[in-house]
Amino acid sequence: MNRIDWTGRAPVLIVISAITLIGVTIGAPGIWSVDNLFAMGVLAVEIGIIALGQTFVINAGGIDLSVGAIFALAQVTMGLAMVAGVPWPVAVALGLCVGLVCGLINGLATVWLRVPAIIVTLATMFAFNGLALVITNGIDVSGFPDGFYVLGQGTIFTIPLQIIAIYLPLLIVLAIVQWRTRFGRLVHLTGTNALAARLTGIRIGRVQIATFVIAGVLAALAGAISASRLTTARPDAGEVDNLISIAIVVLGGSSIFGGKGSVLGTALATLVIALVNYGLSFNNLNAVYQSGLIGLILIAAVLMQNIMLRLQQRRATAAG
Amino acid sequence: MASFELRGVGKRFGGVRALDNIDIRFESGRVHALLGENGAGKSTLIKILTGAIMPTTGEIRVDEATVVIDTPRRAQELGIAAVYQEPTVYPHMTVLENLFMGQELRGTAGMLDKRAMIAAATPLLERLRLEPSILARRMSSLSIGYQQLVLITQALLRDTRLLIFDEPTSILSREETARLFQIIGELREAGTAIVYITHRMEEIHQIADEVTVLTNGQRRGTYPIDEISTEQMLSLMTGGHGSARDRDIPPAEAGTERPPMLEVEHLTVDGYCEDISWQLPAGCVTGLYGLVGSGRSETALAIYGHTQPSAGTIKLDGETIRPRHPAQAIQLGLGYLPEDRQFQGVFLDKSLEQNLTSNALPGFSKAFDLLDLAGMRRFTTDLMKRYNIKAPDADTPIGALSGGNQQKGLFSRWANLPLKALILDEPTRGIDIGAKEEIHRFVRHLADRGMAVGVISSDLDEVLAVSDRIIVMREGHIADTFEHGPFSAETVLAAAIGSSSSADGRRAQTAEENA
Repeated sequence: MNRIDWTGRAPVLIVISAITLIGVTIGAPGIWSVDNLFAMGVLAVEIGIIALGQTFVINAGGIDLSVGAIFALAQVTMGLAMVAGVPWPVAVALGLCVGLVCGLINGLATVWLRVPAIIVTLATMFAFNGLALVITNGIDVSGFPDGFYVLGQGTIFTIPLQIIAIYLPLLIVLAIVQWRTRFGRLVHLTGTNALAARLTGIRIGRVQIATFVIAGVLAALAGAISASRLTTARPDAGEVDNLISIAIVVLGGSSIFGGKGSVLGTALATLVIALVNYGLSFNNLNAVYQSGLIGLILIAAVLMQNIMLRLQQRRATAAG
Repeated sequence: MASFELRGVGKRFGGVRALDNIDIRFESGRVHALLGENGAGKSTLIKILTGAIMPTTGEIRVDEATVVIDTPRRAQELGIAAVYQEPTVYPHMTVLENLFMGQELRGTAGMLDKRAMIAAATPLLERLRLEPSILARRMSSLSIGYQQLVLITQALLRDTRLLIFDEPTSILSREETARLFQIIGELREAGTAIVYITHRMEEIHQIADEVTVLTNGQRRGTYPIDEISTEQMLSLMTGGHGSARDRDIPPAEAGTERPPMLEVEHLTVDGYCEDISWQLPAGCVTGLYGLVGSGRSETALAIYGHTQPSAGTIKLDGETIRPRHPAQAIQLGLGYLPEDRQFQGVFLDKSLEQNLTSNALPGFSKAFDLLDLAGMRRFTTDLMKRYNIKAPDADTPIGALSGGNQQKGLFSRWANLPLKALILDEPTRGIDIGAKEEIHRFVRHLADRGMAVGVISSDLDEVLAVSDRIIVMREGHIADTFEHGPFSAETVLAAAIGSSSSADGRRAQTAEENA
């Protein structure tokens, strides 16, 4: 276990980052300034946090299509609470609780009703989105207390607060959870072979529910940062994040079938995607190209890894 | 006259020899029965004939010419087909679609020519006395018996000249069996060569023209049916066992004198076993012998809390228990080593350490759920040493090890828990003889430490070698119990097979029976 699981994907990601770096540098030499890097990081943090939660769900053998909807529902909930006069820390806590409950619903429905996660979260994606629209009448919420803006606009030594005080500590904690705790092991064992895990005496249902709760809370946290940064909570926010978070996790080396992957791989993949997105928009390229390019990168990464895997197997057979 | 012949055919899987130098000949117009325990090599032989696997040595001759059957398609072209006990069908598709799967008749512009397909199928349906209306029905709406008939129809459509039946009656009702036998008789008259695999003695005399006995991948002999008695077949199947067996370990005291540790009373699991009562005494190994499909694993899984029994009670150390989850069973002191190593047992691409610690993690988690990694490493290397698990290091993926080492790893995981009772389901299936003997020794140690051990096995050798007492199951019931050795291989096998007639096979539970 102490060998990092994403060794297979890491070289691929590094190659892709390098290509992107070169491409972006040639296309827009002006991009390499500290301000630009921070701007890029700020954009990456929100989807990055969502993808961290998605990593746990996917590694345990599930999938969560509703994280973007939770992102929206949580931010409008805390937005409405603040507009109604609730102190902002309380409102943020309330938003995180919304994320927790949403995750719990996903997990319980998957485990108790034995409906595949992809169906459950497809349904809850519509439900959470609908709920966000209903409680806001479809109108953006804004006008928050000044203190709230620190989450998405604050800085520490000129470094954006959400990067240094939220994302990076979170990444470290989750990496430790994944590698060093019992829970982290159980997630991977459950994702590798749920039947064997159950017969070994692992309470796989609890493990799966916990991963959905983590994903829900982290999506809500990303929602809070986003609302703070944009000074607006939008009920239709996060629609693309449902799928992009999955793309990032897979790009980061997690197996879509579970049991394999790491949050560090996900973080690296987040960086690649952010680089591509920011580089393209810096070059004034249309957003349409951005999603197309993400797709290409995903396919290229998977292909490259498959080729390497096959080479490795061939070498193994030759040796054996 | 068509003939299909194996000459010197052998097949190895890694270190395990599944078939060894088999000579056998099937001729048209004859029903050739293959008889043998589970693991005797019957399925390997079918797989070779149907192109699922290639033999390691030897040659196959069809109509006196050497052929290579490297794909299922090639087997079809040669006119070889098999009907398995659980028919492989496409349940959501119609009978017609199943019949012509992969060989659809096409009309103009490549469209499916349904009319031509119906026309081609109808005379065959008549031969099997099936209604033409069955063609439009979904496969899943038919009983297993009817699904088998559809597969036979399919085989006839493809001009099959060698038709293999793999334990076709094990899930059929008596009426369905009778109809099947009639059909087999008619096929034989029509000149088809038939291979009939079974472990039901009474059927062999009813239907076969000749019989070949296989044990441990070797052919014991081929006999015309009227030249061999049931007793002779049994004695061939038990092979070189001799009638009694001595172990190098002295047998424990008679099991009945020991207090029962695990007691199962009137346990019923719907569809698998009915009213099962047995007990495992502490400090002794109880063999639970029976052929595959006798409901042994299902009983164990229900005791272990993976599934829920529909009736009955379970007592552990005198207390009535009703585990709802394997985790709960383990807490109570009851363990179960699953039958299917790959799918139920190991985490193939995870390291040996992750596998061996998978059910010992609570002991290693400290504050904040953090794991004692150094302790886990020591634990793993210790288990590797104690149970002689050969691997480069603890980080090697368990899937990279040999079957025997994987199984020893799986076993060590259970042997190390503080359990009162442990059920081992096929603890040595498909592993080499050395690892097998090691595991048998470990099993003895567990019992000597006072644990109540149950060994479920369809390997008669294993049951005889490792058990202090033997319970024999057959078709979801207890057939016999042997409280203490020396055991006779023939009597145990006879109890499992039910050499007297016992044709009250489980009925396939579908509404189609009376259609």
